[in-house]
Formats: sequence, structure tokens, C-alpha cells
Amino acid sequence: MGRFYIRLMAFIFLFSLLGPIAQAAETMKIGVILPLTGSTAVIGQEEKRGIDMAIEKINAAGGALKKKVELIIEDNRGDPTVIVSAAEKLITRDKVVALTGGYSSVESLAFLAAMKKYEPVSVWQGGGAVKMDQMYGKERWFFMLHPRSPDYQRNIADFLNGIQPRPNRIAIAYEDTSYGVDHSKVAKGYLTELGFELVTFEPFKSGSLDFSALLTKIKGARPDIFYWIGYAGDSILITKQAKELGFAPKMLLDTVGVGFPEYADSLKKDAEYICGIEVWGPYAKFPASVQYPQFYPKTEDWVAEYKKRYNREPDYWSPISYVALITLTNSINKAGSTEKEKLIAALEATDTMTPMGHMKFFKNQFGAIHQSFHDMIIFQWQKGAKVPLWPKQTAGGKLGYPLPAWDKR
Amino acid sequence: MDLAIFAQVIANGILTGGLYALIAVGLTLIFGVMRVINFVHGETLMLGSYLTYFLFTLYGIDPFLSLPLAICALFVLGVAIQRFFINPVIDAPHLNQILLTFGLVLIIQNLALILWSGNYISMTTRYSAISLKFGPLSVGLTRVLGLIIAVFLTVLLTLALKRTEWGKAVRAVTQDREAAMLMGVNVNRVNMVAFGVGSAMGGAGGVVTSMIMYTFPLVGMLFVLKAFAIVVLGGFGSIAGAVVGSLILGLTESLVTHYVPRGSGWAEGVSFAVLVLILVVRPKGLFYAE
Amino acid sequence: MPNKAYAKIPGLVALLVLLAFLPAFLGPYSMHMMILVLIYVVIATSWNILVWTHQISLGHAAFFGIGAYTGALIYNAWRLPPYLDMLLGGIFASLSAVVLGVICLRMAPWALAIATLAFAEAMKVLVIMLPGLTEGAEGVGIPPLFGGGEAARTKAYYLIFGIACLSVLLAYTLKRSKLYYAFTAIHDDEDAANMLGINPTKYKVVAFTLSAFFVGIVGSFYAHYIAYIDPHAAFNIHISVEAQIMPLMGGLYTVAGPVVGAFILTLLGEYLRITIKTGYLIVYGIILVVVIFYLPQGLIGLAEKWVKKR
Repeated sequence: MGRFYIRLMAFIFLFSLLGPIAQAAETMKIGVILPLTGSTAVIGQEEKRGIDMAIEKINAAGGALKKKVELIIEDNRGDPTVIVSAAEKLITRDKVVALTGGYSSVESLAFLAAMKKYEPVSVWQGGGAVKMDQMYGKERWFFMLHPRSPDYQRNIADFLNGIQPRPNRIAIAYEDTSYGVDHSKVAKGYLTELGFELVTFEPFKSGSLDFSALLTKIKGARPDIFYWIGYAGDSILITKQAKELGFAPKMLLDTVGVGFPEYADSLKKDAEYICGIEVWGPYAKFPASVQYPQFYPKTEDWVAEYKKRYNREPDYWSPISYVALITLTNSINKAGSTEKEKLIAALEATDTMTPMGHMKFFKNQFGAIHQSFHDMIIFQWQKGAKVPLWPKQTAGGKLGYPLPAWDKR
Repeated sequence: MDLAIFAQVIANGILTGGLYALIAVGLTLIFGVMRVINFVHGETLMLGSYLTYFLFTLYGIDPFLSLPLAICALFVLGVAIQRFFINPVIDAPHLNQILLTFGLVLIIQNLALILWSGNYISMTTRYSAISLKFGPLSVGLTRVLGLIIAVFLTVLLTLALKRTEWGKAVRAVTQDREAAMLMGVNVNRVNMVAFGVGSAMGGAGGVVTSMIMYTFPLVGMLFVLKAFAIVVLGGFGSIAGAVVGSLILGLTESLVTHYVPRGSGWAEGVSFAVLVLILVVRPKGLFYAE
Repeated sequence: MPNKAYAKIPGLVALLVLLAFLPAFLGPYSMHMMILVLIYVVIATSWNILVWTHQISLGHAAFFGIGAYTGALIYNAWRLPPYLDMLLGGIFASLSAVVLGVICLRMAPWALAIATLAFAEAMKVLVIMLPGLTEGAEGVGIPPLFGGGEAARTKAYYLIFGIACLSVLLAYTLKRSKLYYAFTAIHDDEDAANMLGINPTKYKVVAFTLSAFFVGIVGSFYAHYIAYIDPHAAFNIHISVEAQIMPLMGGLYTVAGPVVGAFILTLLGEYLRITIKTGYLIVYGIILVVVIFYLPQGLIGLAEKWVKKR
């Protein structure tokens, strides 16, 4: 038995000696944390596609400070405990110069709590909950790319307010996660302020097998607009069952769940007339960057390259990850150093066009000093394509409103 | 109280219950015969759904026509899994079996994630969102078809258990494995076929869910825990118990969602609470096969 | 037996000394992993206690989550010293175990297992649906334990080390006590135990309570250490699953088993995650399957076989 304990001690020793394995070549190490497995793997995989495209270009253009950029990619399984382990490893063991990645707000909050003591420069595309801005928005090392929930909801509220004839009754259903709860709270605030009547305000379990009970209840409340806050899987099922139940209010609206290409691929004609909101879609038409044309061609060309490489339409998670990584390496090059203050200054000075839009870090009104993308686009699926409708000046078509009944299409 | 709405709520509950039953019946068969905790059952559902999806998108085969294919394929897979992985541990403590099937689940789920990516996918056919109207009731055609399939397969299984040699052997083994062995029953074969049949039903469940909702590599997780709860609630080995348990859960969820404020969030919690209450009163399950 | 006991002690002492001095030569990431290991040592050891009475809990995450939320909410409301918070976490978890145990008294092991699973899921729903009390799905932020930073982490390590030692000591004492005879009797044949005058009910509830206590404490510790919890993480089924497979891998009816299992599975899981980039979970699954095939008695069983062969 004593032998056994000795073996155990040896195991612990071995593990602790899994120290930094000597790197032969001189590389610039950047840490990336993504949910590559687990129930949110679909997002992590989308982010990785953007990152893979970016790293190729970065190194083809000479890397950072004349060194090859080496990405150390960690899978956090969508688990906030693992994100802490991954971040600790990247910072203290791999000694990366900076971090990028992220997806959900909860993971991001756990990440921020753990990283506050190290203050690693982080160009982070994850999380939209205003709690992040409130708790960590003033941290100088932290740069957020993702729009905040009020950015989404302010736009939705104004969009709905501008519809003629003006709808009045809105039914809201939201998934029982931090994403759903956060967005729905904010939505409620803006919508009630504008005088809309919220006839339903219900949470639903994400991953439900059946929404017929919820939809029956909402149908009974006779809303003008059914607005749900959920992701891809639930959105597919909700749409299908709305059709089954013959539930056709004047508008069916979701946040991001209906933006995924699979949504329209799966539903085909049934996706018609569904509206959603996103920070970017492949229909965007941003021009090429003047400063960095090799990284940031015009949107059309970027999308074409993506499609050629991956044989699929991009969702916004790919370009946002692409831009996050390139922003970081561009800033390292501009600063001429990885020293924290210089790098922060270079990041703060970022000001360029990208396929995703104008990339610059702003102070926002929720407490964050470094936030970039916040312009939202509201779209409607029309004939299998996403047609942007809002803001008005970028509209590419007219809103199909009210929704025709399901059997009359 | 609006009777039309109540009827709709009940109808919804029955349809959901039917879907649960399709998955729980296969599991209760396996559990009854082998007393094995089989987490892999959720993966048979996942594999059935992907098989359907690929046959549809690559070859244009209608999902309901894939049903017999899925059933056969998953039967074979089930027999193989039983023979190579489950049989060696059949007499091991139950906890060992949990660990084993959990390991298998990790392998299968993550292979699927790598091979087929994590995207949520669904299928749309000409009939996929038709709804049938019975007066004020509106029910999805595919859901009704799913219920019909569930009923059909369950009845088939029940008949097989009552009338065939294999069925009698299964019932004997479920009741008392030792006695059955002494009576000359080839328990090994019974086990393999039972696992195959159970997995085939899981696969059928996958066909139906891919039509009714969507699928992705971790879809099995959405069902397997509930299926377990239903199996225990109904009493292992009891098909009737699995059916009744499924209906109880489906109806509870539907009623709570509709009539309780914010009920959609409470529904699962309440149905689990109901489950525990029933187990308090009937600790061995509703129809424990004595 | 005396030979074996004496052989164990030097090894045990060496292990404890090693663990006590780890902060001196391990970096922050490894220390973080060791803290997670010790959290799981407590969870696995506690879960194992239940098995001794033939009760299986598939929902041990419930006690973890109750402890986590108790600790987080009380600290944010009243700023009690963390030690007190953690103790309260343990107490609340135990109270809920008593209630659950009493409700599920007559249930056969399977029914109890499902009831514990149902309990964990129901607790999660409760936390999500009462945001006024628990901040719901958005989660709760807590100031980091001992202020955060490296010195704080070392303190946290010693704290969890102490808690782990206490929980293992509890298991050890339990195993040597008369209580264990009662447990074994109930485990093997409840009716017979009853006839011998052992009240199975009382002992089963006692086992349940003891099993929940330290899990509640480490739940609260976790909330303070990670500084942010949400219902999906606090009641994660992953915790319930690890609670079972660790003692299984190490050896169910021993005290050392869960400890060994916790060390190995936590470290192995992380090692695989950082070395194999794609498909590490597949390898992990394969390892689990192989272990079950070739080590049905767990690793301690294997070790004992080796010792016997000498």
C-alpha cells in the first residue's frame, strides 16, 4: 500500500513538472479560449474558422514584431470552471502575451474575475451582458468587441416603434440562461417605455423538446408581435411549431437564433418573414480598409474567400473573431512591443475599416471604456436571403408585414 | 375555463408524452432484462437522427421511409455494443456499468462533434409543418405521425413479448434471471436481442425527433435523463409503466406551462417533483414487474 | 492486518507532507489545478459514504449548488467571514439532505437515485425561477476569496487542504466505527438488518446528511474561489457524474479510493485537454471504458492485488 502512495506522489510530481516545454523557435504566443466542445460547440467552431483564416494572413504578412505568431488554443467546453483553468494556464504557464476569445457572458464573467489579478491584455469577443460593463468595464487591459444587450434591444424597440400601423401587443419569451434573462430584462425596459403592452413575459427552458404548450399560451394572448430570445436550436423548433399550431401574429421576431445559415437551410420556406437582429451579416457592404487592405478587404471579398475556404456562409462569430485577433496583432506591431502600456495605447488608437464595420474602441454608457461593435442590423428572411431592414439608411428591402397566415403562402 | 384551450393543452401533453414514450420504452426493455444503466441509449437516438438527416440530404430519402433503415441499423449497432461492451460487465456492480456507458457516450458524442460539427440541423419536407385541425385543436402532422409510430412500435413490442419465444424468455429473465437460466433460457441471446431492440427503438425515436424538432451531437442528453426518470417511475421492465410515466410527464409539463404564470420555466422542475412524489407513494415504480 | 496498516502510514505521511509543501514549488496554474483536485477529493469522498449504505446519488451536484448559493448570497448580503459562510453552506446542504432523505426513505436504490437526480434539476429550476432571491440565470458575482492574488491562492489552497483532510478523516472514522457495521448490514440486506435491531431509516438518513455536509462546504468554497457562479455551473450534472466515477475508479468501499480517483481523473482530464487538442474527450472516454474492463475493483483493488502478490 505504501508503494501505492509513492506512485501517487510520483504522478503529482510528474504533473507539476509539465512545465513550459522549451520552445525551440522564437514565436509570439497568443492565447485563445473557445467553447470547442460541449453544447455551445457550434459557436466555438464558428469562431475558430475566423481565427484560422486570420492567423494564416497574419503570419503570411510577417507575424508580429517579425516573429511568427503561435496561437495556443484552449477549449473551455462552455464551462466557467474550465475557462478559469485555461486562462490560468495560458497566462502563468504558457506566458502568452495577450488573450482573445470568449463566448457567453457567464464564462466571460468567470474569466474576468480570475484574470483581474493578472491584468492580461485581452481582446475579447465574448459576452453581451451589461453586467460585464458594470463590473469590469473600467479595466484598462480588457477590450470588448461584442455589442451589449442594450444595443440589441434599443434598436429592436425603435424598429418596432417605427412600424406602420404601429403594433401594440408584444409577447416575449426568453431562454432560461443569462443571455435570455439579460436581454429580456433590457427589452422589457425599452419596450414598456415606448408604450408597448407586454402581454406575455415567459422564460423557457433552452433545449426544450416541445414548445407547443408555450406557443398555445402565447397564441391565446393574441399578441401583434411574438418576440423570442433564443438560439439556433430553439428557434428552429419554435418556428416549426408556430406553423403547426397555426400561430401567425403580425410579426415573428427573434434575436440571434435566426441568423445562423442553418436556420434558413433547415426551414426553407418556413423561415420566410422571420425577423432577427445581428451585429453583422454576409450581406453587409463595408469597403476595404485603407490602412490594412491585406487583412481587411471589402466585405463581399472577405465573404467570398470564407465561402471558398469553408463551403458555408459565415455567421457573425467568424468575422468578429477574425477582427479580434488581427486587431491584437496589428496593435502589437504598431506599438513595436508587447509591453502592456504600449499595447493598450496601440489598441486604444485602433481606427480602421474592417469587413465587419468600423473598428474602434469607444466608451459606452454602461460603464465600459473599451467597446467596439455596437451598430446592429435588423433583417428579415425573404426568399431564402437575409434582407437588412434597419437602420433605415442601410435597408435593402421592405419589411413584409404583417406576416401572412401560414397556409396562405 | 376555456375548454378548447384545455383540450389543446391536453393534446399537446399527449403528443409530447408519446415522444418520451418512444424513447423510454426501449430503455425500460433494456433495463428490465439486463438491469444495466444504459446512457448510450441517448446516443442511439442521436445516431438515428443523423442517419435520417444524411439519407434525406444526400439521397433525398424521405425521413419516414428511413425509419425501417434506422431501426435495422441501430438494432445491429445495439447488438454489437451489447456483445462487446455491455456483456463483459453485466454482472459487475451497477456503478461500473454507469461508468462504462458514460465513457461510451463521451466517445460517441465527441466523434459526432468532430465528424459532423456542432451545428443544429433540421429537415423540412413538403409535409413537415402541416398541421391537422380537429375543431379548435391544431396539432402538427409530424407530431401525430410520431405518436402513431410510438404506439405502433410499442404495441409491436408488447405483442412480441407476449407471443414470441423470445418475448417469453425476456419476461422470464426480467422477473428472475437465475431462475430463467436454470430453466435453460439462453440469457446471453436474450440480452443481445433486447439491447438491439431497445436501441432500435431509440433509433426510431431519433428519426422522429429529427423530423419534429432538430438534432445536434449532444441531442441525446436532452432525452436520456428524462427517459431514465420515466423508466424508474414506471417500474423497470414495464412497458405499460413507461407509457404511463411518459404521459404523466408530458401532461404535467403541458399543464404547468399553460396554466402557471411563467410556467414554461417551472415545467421541468414541477414534473420532476411530481416524479419524486409518485416514487414516494410507489417506491418501486408504478407497475413494478413483480 | 497490522502489517498493512504500518505499511500505509509512511506513505500517507509522505503524501500529506508533499501536499502541505506544494505551494513552495508549484506555479499558479498547477496550484489552481490542485485546488480543483482537492475540491473533488471532498466531493468524491462524501459521495462514497452513501454507497456504503447501498444508496446511490445521481444528483450530488444539488448539495454543491446549495452550498455555493448559500455561501454567495449570504456573503453578498451580510459579509460574514468566509469560514462561516462555508460552514453555513454545509449546514444548508445537510438540512436539505435530511429532508430529501426522509422523503425518499422507502425508495429502492434506483428510485432514490432518480429522486436525487430530480432534486438536483429541481433545485436548478428553483434558482433560475426566483431571480429576486438568487439573481437567477444571470449568476452571482462574489468578491474573490481572501482578496484574490497569489497569497490569497496559497491561503485558499491550505483552506481546501484542511477541508479535504477533515472530510477524509470523517470517512475514515466512519469506516472504523460501529456505524459502518450498521451501514454494511443495511447495504447487504436491509430486512435482515431490521431484524437485527438496526433501524435502516435512521442510518440511511445519517449517511445522507454526512454525505452532503462537506459537499455543501466545498460548494461555498468554490463560489468564493471562482468569484462567479450561475445555476448551470453550480448544479452541473458534470459534478454529479464526476462524484460517481472518481470513487468508482479509485475503489468504492475504501477511503483512499475516492481520493485516488479524484486526483487521477481531475489531473488526467486536464492533461488530456491541454495536450490533445481535438478529440481529447474521446480519449478520456476510452480510458474510462478500459478502466472498467480491466480494473473492476478500481485502482485500489489493483494495488491490493499487487501487494498480495509480493
